[in-house]
Amino acid sequence: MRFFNPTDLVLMGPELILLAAGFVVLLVDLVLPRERKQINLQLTVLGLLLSAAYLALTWPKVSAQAFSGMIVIDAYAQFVKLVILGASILGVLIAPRYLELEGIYVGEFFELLLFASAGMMIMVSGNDLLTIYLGLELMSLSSYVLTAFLRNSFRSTEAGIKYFLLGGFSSALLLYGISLVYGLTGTTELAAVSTSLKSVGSSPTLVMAVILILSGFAFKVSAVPFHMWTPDVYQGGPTPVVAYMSVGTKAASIAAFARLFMVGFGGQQAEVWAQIVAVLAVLSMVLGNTVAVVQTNVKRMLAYSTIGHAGYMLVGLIVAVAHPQANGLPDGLTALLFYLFGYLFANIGAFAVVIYLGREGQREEYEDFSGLAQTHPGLAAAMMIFLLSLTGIPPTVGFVGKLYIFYAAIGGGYTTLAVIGLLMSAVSLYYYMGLAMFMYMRNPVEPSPAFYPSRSLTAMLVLCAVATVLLGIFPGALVELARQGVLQLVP
Amino acid sequence: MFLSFLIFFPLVGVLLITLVRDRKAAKGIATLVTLVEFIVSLGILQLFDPSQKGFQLVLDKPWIESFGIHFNIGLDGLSAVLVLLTTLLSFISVYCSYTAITEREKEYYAFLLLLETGMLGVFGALDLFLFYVFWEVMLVPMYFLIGIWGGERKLYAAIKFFLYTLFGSVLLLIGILLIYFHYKGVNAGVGTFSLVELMRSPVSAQGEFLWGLSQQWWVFLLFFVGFAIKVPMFPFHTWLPDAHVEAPTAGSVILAGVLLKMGTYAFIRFSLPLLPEASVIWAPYMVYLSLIGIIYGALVSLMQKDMKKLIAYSSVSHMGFVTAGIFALNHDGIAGSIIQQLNHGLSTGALFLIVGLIYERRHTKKIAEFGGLSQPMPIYATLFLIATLSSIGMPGLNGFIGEFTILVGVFQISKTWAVLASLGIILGAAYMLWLYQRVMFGPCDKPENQRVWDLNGREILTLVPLVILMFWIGLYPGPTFKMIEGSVQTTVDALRNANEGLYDGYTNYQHSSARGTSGANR
Repeated sequence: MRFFNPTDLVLMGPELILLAAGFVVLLVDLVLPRERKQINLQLTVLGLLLSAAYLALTWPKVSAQAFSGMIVIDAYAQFVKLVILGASILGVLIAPRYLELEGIYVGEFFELLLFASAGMMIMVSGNDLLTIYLGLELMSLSSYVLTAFLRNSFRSTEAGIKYFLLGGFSSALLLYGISLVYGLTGTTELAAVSTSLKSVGSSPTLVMAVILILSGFAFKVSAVPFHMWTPDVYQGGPTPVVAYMSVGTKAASIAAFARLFMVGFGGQQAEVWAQIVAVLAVLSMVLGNTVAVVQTNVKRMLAYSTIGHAGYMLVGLIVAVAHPQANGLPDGLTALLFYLFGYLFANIGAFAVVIYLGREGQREEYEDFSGLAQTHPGLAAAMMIFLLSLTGIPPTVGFVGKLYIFYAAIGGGYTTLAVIGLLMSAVSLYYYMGLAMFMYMRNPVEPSPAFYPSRSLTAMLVLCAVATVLLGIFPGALVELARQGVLQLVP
Repeated sequence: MFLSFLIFFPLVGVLLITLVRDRKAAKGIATLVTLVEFIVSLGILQLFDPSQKGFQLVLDKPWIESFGIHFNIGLDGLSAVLVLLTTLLSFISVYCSYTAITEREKEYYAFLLLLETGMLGVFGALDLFLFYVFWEVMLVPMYFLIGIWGGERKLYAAIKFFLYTLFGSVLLLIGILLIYFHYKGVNAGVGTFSLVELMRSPVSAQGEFLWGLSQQWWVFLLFFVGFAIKVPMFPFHTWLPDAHVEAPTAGSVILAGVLLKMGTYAFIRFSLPLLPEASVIWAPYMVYLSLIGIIYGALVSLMQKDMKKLIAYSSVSHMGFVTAGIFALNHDGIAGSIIQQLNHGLSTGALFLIVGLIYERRHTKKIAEFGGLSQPMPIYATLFLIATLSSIGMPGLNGFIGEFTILVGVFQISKTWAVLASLGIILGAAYMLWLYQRVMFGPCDKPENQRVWDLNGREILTLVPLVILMFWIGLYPGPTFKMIEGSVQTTVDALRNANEGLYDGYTNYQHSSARGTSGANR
């Protein structure tokens, strides 16, 4: 057996570019004078754009395997990598002024972010339980450090420690589950695991393994009851990091585990699995949305909203895994992918607005948004678009995404889940509009505080707002792209 | 093309308003846009052919192929009439806001124009998905209009309105998806959101309707909650007093004049043709709720001390008439209800304008504060009286035509119901005439009342078109009836075709327990 093929490296191009960029930034930062520190940012963006271009140019028509089956490159993985790269680029470009004000504009920040992205991409492409774990750990470890990056902030350090401890614990659970699967089947490659499990049949060990793997997965996705870390981490961490993680980690985890359950378990235990995840989904939707109602800190509110959205995504996942051939079309998974892409713009956009208002990280309460419509009408309008998208009101991409997921749920026979999801969306209106109320219906506080936007922040805000509305009115092309990706996963 | 222009032209106005700096310019743009919109919409009278059944001015472009969603718009008699009402009321609401709104005018007029697009889209949409999109889109500008320029409890009223209506919309969405999937199941896996397609529901080899009662029942319920909240039908009406009272004048005019019609429009457009058997089963309960709404709304109006709240509750009562007419499920009932929708838009729109006018002068809406106002304000008194008589249903004005036709329709189904409904007319006369007497007649003893000034030219112009239409429909309703005849006939046909043997002649329906469900006997 060959160790590896040179073609494998070509297939892994996007990840390798990111890893290389990370190292380059790390080294360049050592010799960079203070005044030229934006070169770090430029190198990072260059690396991300190169990776994205490579991805687009080598879009696979059929799935290919690399590293003797440990990595698979198919349109499904590449679609999610687009989301991840999108989150990275947006996350990096909304950060500069914030980093400068907080005094953390250093090469390590960008390097960690690039490594986290690389980890996410490896995870998504993983065709083997251990590869998925490898990618997950690379992503997680980088994220832990990024969360604690504000060294002088009590909140940030606390957030980092919490995330690290809880994350480490859940990774251990995940690994235990993987080892149980190995014990049962003698292999960790997904397709082989699936074949092997057919002969194993149902056993308590298998159920245990599923539960453990689910626990590790649910933690990363912020599903209830593994969500406890989310509010603190979102409130304490540096806002660009939180923005990036909220989409990137979620997208990578959901995509990787969808592959794990669909290809690896291949429909085994689907009913049991679906029931467990349905409970997780309902709890997430209900708890996330109801607790968000009482929040007064915008970042914390967005954290709970993230938990709610994780619930919606899990509904899509349930439909995908439990009924992969519903109505002859893999609707659930396509809906999920589409939703992730739309969520990217709305969520990062919302966090970008918080960064815009921030100054030394102090302006994150609802009151700070008072009268924004009168002082900064464009900013308020952008935030309004993001809030509408997160609620799921047309003509935004969030509406189409939610509609698609619940459409898939009803089509797959999970009408109750759809009803709960839609009702919770109505509840979410209350707290999203609560923020809108402060922006539009209160008067600004005197004296008007100064804002510190950077050009890239403004540009990214406009991009996110336009994308949210455009994709909401013309979602066709994106739906097709997602569908092609899913067809390569589930042939 | 014509219809797309109508629907999207106000957005051009929104764009222009965001580009100008000057508040006066914003006012001017809004007025011009809505005036042009109205004049162009009069072209419908030319282009629309009342003798044709089915939809006209249709545009059908594929939009989201993978789901069978099309950008499909078109008009029939029902929607044409409501589109004309919308454009007229939009113009009037812009024109009446000149002095009423004094801060953040740019956003105000922008929201009004956005609202107009949303409303026209709802009436024009023939694709269920498109309809839903416009239905939801419409909520956002209304929320802002109430929440920013509203009265004392504007924040509460705004979020209550939004949440309540969104809750209904969500259930409506589930209903739409259920229809889609059911149709997909019986139509060899090809789903569609197109209304026209769904109305031509597949029939099995034995000639049986494949879209059976058990499936229809739940969807009807879901649709019912969504639409009933909008109408509003008892007991889903509690958002209405708050929203109407706290909204600015133009907001109330649009809310009462157009938004309320969307619920009843949706019943006629979607619930009846797509769910005919369920409609027949549910109809008696709908009429019961309508009757409760009529009488309850009227009784509560009688007790109100605030003018605007009184008129808000009177809307509940009037819309009860409309829904009673719809669920009489016969030609007269439905025709009457469409006419009455138009009438209610005109008369309640006028009444809210009237309240707004006196509020601008006296900054109060409490009835006790007024008295004898006809002395300083004779023109106002005249127009107020005409609107009052229209609302009551005095022959010669439009209200009578609608109410009479509805009563004819209901009478054919059940004499008891008709008698109960006419109680509403008597109560309506009671609260409206009493209101008028307390406000306009009697001695003008308060000094503040003696100082109020009569209407100026602009204010008269906001009311005159409505008054003219009130007389036009009241004295010569023929053309209006002719215009809506096609839609009424189509709806009644759809009901009749599905409910073979349940129709006795063209006018009555009965409930048959042979259907295996517990239908009520009348």
